Amino acid sequence: MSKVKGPGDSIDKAAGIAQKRNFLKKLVKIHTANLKTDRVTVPLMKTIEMLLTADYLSEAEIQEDIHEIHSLAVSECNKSKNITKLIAGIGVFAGLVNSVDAELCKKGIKTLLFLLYHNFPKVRSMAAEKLYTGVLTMEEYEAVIPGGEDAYEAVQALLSETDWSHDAKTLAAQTKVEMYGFFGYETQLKPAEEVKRKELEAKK
Amino acid sequence: MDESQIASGDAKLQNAEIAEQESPQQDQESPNLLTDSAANDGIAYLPWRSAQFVFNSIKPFFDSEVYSIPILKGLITSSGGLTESTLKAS
Repeated sequence: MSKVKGPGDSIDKAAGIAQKRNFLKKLVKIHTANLKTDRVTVPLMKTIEMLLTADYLSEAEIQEDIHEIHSLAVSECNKSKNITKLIAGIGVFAGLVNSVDAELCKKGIKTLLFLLYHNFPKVRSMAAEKLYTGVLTMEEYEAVIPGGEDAYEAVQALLSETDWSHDAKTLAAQTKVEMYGFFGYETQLKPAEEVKRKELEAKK
Repeated sequence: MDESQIASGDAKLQNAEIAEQESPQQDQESPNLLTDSAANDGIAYLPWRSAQFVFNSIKPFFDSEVYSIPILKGLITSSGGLTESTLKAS
């Protein structure tokens, strides 16, 4: 590997960032060239998750390049029925939740919210677990949860107290609008979910 | 054609003959790695099935413009492999 030490063995920050940027470009190149090739993209997303968890990609200067990684992970997971791949994707999105770039953090949360109402119970449970951990370890939540401390606590309660392995339509009917609302997003229920919501309201 | 031209022609001919005589000797001095059985035996002897050895051997090429991406791809793919020793070595 190239040395990033400057004169007198001081760590050359600019060289380190340039090296990380170069490394990220290589990751993006590999991902782009092997899009939808599970053999490569699944371990690649796991590697990216490890790098994000280890704070290796935490510098503000390289956050722009990570936006590209997010888009690639989204297109990789889009319409996929491979649970292993979806879980690897959740790892990447959860890693973005604690990013210093608020925009990237919001993108990560929005993708996790989408996966929170996925058809597969395992995917929903994993998304809920990662989102809960992400929200819990968040240093400044004001930019992401506009409702303040009450909303912050309500999100945690809703995520931890809901059984995400239940029927997807019931979960969506009960919690989707509220959950999206906590993060400042508006969403509409799908027709089947709307029917379920009306059924649940009628039972009450 | 004057004498000097004939003389230079002779010199060229002599040089070509010398080069022909020398070329087989040069071949003997630099063996062809693809065909030389001794060299092949040496390469085959190396533990290519040992992930630890292979990953350590490719480390110096990681900064190479040409090989860095294939090496990184190989490392990442290996990290997602099922064989535990390969996974650990990667």
